[in-house]
Amino acid sequence: MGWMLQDETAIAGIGETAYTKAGGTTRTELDLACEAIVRAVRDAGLELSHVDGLVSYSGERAGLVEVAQTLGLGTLSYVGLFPGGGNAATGVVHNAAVAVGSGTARNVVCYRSICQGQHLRFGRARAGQGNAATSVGETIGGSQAFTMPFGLMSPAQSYALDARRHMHEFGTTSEHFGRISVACYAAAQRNPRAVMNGRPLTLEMHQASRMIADPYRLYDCCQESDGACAVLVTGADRAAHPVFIRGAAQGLAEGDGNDRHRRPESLWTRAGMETIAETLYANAGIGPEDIDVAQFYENFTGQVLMAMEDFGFCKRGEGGPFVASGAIDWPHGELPINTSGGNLAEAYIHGLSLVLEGVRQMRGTSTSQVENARHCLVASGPSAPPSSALILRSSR
Amino acid sequence: MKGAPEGLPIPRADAMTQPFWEACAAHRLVVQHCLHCGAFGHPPRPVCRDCQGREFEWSESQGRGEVFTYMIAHHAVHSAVEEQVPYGVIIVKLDDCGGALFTSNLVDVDPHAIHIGLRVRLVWEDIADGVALPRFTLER
Repeated sequence: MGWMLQDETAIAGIGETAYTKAGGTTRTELDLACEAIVRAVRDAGLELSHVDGLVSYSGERAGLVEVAQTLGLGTLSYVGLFPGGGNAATGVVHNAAVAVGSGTARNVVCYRSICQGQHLRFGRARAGQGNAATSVGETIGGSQAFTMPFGLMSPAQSYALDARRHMHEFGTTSEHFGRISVACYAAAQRNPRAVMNGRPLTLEMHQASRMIADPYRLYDCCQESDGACAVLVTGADRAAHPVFIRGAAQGLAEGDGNDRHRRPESLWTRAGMETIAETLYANAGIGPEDIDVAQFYENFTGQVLMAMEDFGFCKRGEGGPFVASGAIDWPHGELPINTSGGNLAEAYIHGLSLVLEGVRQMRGTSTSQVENARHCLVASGPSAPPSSALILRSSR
Repeated sequence: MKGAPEGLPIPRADAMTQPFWEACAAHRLVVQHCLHCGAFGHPPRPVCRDCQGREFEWSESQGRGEVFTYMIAHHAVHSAVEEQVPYGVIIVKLDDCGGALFTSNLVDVDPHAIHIGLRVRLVWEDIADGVALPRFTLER
């Protein structure tokens, strides 16, 4: 028996702003959030007056109340805030699906707005986590007191530790990581919305790019962007052109995030999504062999490789040879990934843009469309607890 | 110390971590040890993850271990280290204290010579009045 909400809810509308590199817009995050939400509602064929639920991520600077009041949403039946950043990209949709499926609300909008150019860069040393982080002073407290004084200060540096373990245990190489960047950049060349459209990347360019946190090079790291995304979740029977939410799952792996000193040794080479994958496939009633296309949240390339292993697309430790085989390349690979360009090459909107691309694949409107794609996996931020994932199903 | 980044924010203790940092100031590396089930845990927490016990002792490490993993920072993400990159950060697995993991640096070693499995031993660096950081050097 699967999830009781299997195919009961659907994404009926998607909306987004133009994407730019961080600092590319002077508009506010509130402004962009409202634009994306209005577009998503209209895409669903609805009016703003139909929206009765709103969900975002913690640290959302265009806050739920502010957005609701700016758009004149009036009485809301449901509001939700999922903890974290990119780990929440699919968790917000899960949250909305539960609200709709339980009858708490009818039409729930999930959104994320980021104008990173107007705020502290994610890649700088900061106190705290995600959008809530602040400038670091002369002292540092909490769990960061055990890392920052030693120079472990950024996401790239932390995730590089895991990538190094994977290389050590399984013979994975920097070229393997590079294959993931190259696949994302190739998709961005076909996607006019992508920030990196017009800037193709070869494996040689990846290998020649400067080290950021060895073993991670520049092109192993996601961009920082300005932009906003929104999706509208409603009952599957009410949507004119539904993309079904087939399954959804969340999880919190031992020792992920800032708890790495207590992480069991075997989990250092994983993306913390094994149990999520197990739950997701069980509640969707399908397996990895049924997934036609996938959107993997790329904070860093090695984490994508580990997530592909966690979700069972190849054996443990074989992510390197899997990507080198061309398996992830559009159009002929067995599992084309990140067909919009993803966080690496389309835009970094904390992963919600990957959900939008999943919807386009299920509608048949992607600029890198996978023919006859029926199921799309969307996996949110790896090794960033609590993580989450979705399986979308096409109604075509 | 050569190989260790300098000038970064210094640890600020709270009620939970104060005994750990006070031990560091006295050049003792200690790990929280549950009196109920014997589990070791670092960094210190109010509740034992394994048995939910709340009574602990501080177990002193002999300071020997090996490099479990590492990275080399090339891109400076804090103004203090702009002239100090590249530098290495290691995760050390202690021989004792339940194989507790610590984030640290390997001093007097070229960062590009760091590798997983390298044997290391504890050295102390006093970085401010009453504040010392546990770093590591080659065991030999």
